[in-house]
Amino acid sequence: MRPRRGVVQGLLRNGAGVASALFIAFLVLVALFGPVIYSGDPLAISDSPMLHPGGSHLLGTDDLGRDVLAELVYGVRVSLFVGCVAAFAATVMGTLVGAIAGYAGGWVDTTIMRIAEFFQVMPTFILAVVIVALLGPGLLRVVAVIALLSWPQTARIARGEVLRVSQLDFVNGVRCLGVPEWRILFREIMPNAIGPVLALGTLIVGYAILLEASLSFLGLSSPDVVSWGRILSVGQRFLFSAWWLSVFPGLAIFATVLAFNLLGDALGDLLNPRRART
Amino acid sequence: MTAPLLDIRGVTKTFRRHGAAPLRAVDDASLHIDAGECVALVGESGSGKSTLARIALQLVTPDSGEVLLEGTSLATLDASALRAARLAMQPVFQDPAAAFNPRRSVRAILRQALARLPGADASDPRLETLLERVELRPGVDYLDRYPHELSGGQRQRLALARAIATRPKVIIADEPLSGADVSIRAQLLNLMGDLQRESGVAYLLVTHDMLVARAFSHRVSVMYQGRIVEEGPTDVVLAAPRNAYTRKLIAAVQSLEPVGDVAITT
Amino acid sequence: MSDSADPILEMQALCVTYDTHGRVVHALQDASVTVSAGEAVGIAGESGSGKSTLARAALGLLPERVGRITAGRVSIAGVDVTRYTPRQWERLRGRPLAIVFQDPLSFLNPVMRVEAQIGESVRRHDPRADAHARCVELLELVKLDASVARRYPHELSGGMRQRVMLAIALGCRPRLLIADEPTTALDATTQTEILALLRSLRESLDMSLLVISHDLGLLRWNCDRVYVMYAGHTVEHGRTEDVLQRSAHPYTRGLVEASRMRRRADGRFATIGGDVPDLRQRYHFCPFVARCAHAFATCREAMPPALPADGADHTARCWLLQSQTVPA
Repeated sequence: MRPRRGVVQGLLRNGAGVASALFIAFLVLVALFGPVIYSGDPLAISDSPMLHPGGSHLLGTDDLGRDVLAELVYGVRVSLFVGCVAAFAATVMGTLVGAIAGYAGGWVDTTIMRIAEFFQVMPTFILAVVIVALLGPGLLRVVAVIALLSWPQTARIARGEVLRVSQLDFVNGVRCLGVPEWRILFREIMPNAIGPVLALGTLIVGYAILLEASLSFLGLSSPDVVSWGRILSVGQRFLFSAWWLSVFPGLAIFATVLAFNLLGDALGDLLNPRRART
Repeated sequence: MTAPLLDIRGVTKTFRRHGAAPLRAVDDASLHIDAGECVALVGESGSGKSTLARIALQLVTPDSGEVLLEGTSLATLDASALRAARLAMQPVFQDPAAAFNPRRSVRAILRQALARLPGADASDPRLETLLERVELRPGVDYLDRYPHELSGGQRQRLALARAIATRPKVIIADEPLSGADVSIRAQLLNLMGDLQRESGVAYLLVTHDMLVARAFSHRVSVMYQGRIVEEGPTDVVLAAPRNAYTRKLIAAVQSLEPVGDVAITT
Repeated sequence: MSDSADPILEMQALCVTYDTHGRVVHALQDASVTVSAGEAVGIAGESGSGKSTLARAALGLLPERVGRITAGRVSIAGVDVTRYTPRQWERLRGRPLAIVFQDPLSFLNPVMRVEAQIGESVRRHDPRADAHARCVELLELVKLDASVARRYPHELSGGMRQRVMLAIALGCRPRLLIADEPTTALDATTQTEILALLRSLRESLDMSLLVISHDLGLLRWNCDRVYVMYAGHTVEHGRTEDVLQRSAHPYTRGLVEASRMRRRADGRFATIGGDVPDLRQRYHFCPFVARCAHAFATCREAMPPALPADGADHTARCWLLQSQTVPA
């Protein structure tokens, strides 16, 4: 089964969507090739501390004399990694769980949804802090925590879509051909239900990046990676004297999360099954 | 006396609802179809006719009663026999918009049906022949299209193509003409008639329109609030209805005759 | 308003296009309809005929930015409303014209009680009216019990909802009621009741009626005159009896025969071959030519004007009428 042909054309029509997609592509390039341009350890001291932006240090240096631009470039990798992996894990988990809940109905549905609600009502940030504080820092742990807290949103959407699609007559038509139920769920229903789920997935990337930045701001993320949040936490103490330590990482986080959100919006509009057909 | 092709005996189905009294959709309803016949199941919304059709198609399990295909109760069949039985009874649904997976091409839709038939040829030429049989010509033009690219009438033809792909013995059509324009309806009826002549397939035609029943069925069963209130050969029932509700249905149609004769005779 | 000699609704050579993302559909290509005081007029057509677009154009309800009147004119009680802005429409709507649609469930607000919705309509056109009293009056007019006022739409049956929609439309005392497929969503038995209601309302309120439907039987019993539409054109017009029994246009004849659903001598049902017309195309010749058994050269070259047919005020746009050939 091929994806609907109008998706790419539709994306191109959405200006914000295009801009976001381009920006994200740029970030990916930076993540992949940045270290080539800035070879060497970004954590190494390269110059005197607290230099203003300009000259050989475009964005200045931090309190230990490390180049801020280098740190930002390396930070892209962390943010994208955490964001994408966490969002991917949350989407996969949420979709599977939500689809089964929607398709099976009955007590299976109720139980799963109660569990999802349990995860949703918990104060996300506090839970993240507690888990990481207990288990110790580490990038994968952070990813796991974020995924664990995000899957209920996806599950809810997936469940709703599966419920909607399973009412349609074509499902019955296939059932009358004797196709087994599990196959109907995965080959007939799911492909028609994932549109909104994918859109939500991109939104979760933004959310995950923010959460990771917050955790590393508190020093709870892995200490041996360069993260935008870590720079921010340093900048906090020198908010007025060394404004560049707060402004640049802050802008980077803002721009990245915004880009993913806009992309998610554009995708959501496009993949909305209620949209008029071309 | 040979057993009927499809024999629905005394089925009852009650749906439980949240915060409302249980709904007895079908109440001890019986219906039978002989090979090559067309039986119309006529009723208004809420009569239970769609539920009865779904019970026949094994999409809904009745609380009591049984459904027999060629004398054998479907409830007693094992998994593989049941699969074969399903292929012998194919549906055509009302809403062509929701009748197909929007992400499957016409080719994929027909292939999926043919694949269930052991040893069937699902090649493109075979699919084209199938499409041309339902007058979607030339077949090759339609293979790569998607359901939303077809008109309502074309989609219903595709639905018929998929239905006959597995060489069923009976086609259960739930309001197949309701979404179609007047001129298309006549075309579809002609097509259904042709298919019956060629393959001897029987029809269970579920409809709210007595005019359609008059045009296309040998026998008619009238359903009201879950019960079959009258049944018999179509011309007999229409000429001399015994049940008050049947008379009401006939009167309603009479008042909508487009031209000429007011009396409803075949 | 101008004097009562003007027809309540007059559409002349109306053309409407829908333009979505560069895709243009010519929904109306040359439609002319007139409804005068006290008349019941029908518009017959299938999907793609443009009949619903006609209804919307009459009330300025074409979707903004997407639907436009590109030629022709619409006048209501003598006033040319073709170029009316949405604000002008707001002031005009309701008093001379009101409309009821096919699906009352999507039209009625599910979270408002019936009396609130009727009251809204009444107060819109007469802010000083006693909404409650008028609501009771209207419910009685549509033969609904006063207790319905306190209910919500989802608590009512399809027929009752359609009556509520009628009550809302009548709330503004229209001179013309446009009913777009008023009974399509209803059961056969309910249909007859609603149609009987429409007839009685017409008489008691001295109101004109414009019924749009694909169901010829419905039009036969409820309309004095009927227009037949095809591919955005009004192709035949006359007294209902003439148009249905002595159809002049091959399309009308085909439509009538197909509606009867009776087998011919060869056991098949009469049908019109081919499929619905493609409205992306603008037809400067007869749009029915591809499906017409009697088409000849002129038909493919030019659009026939309205030519006289058998019966008073009976015209059809078909070249066959000019050559005096009576088709077999």
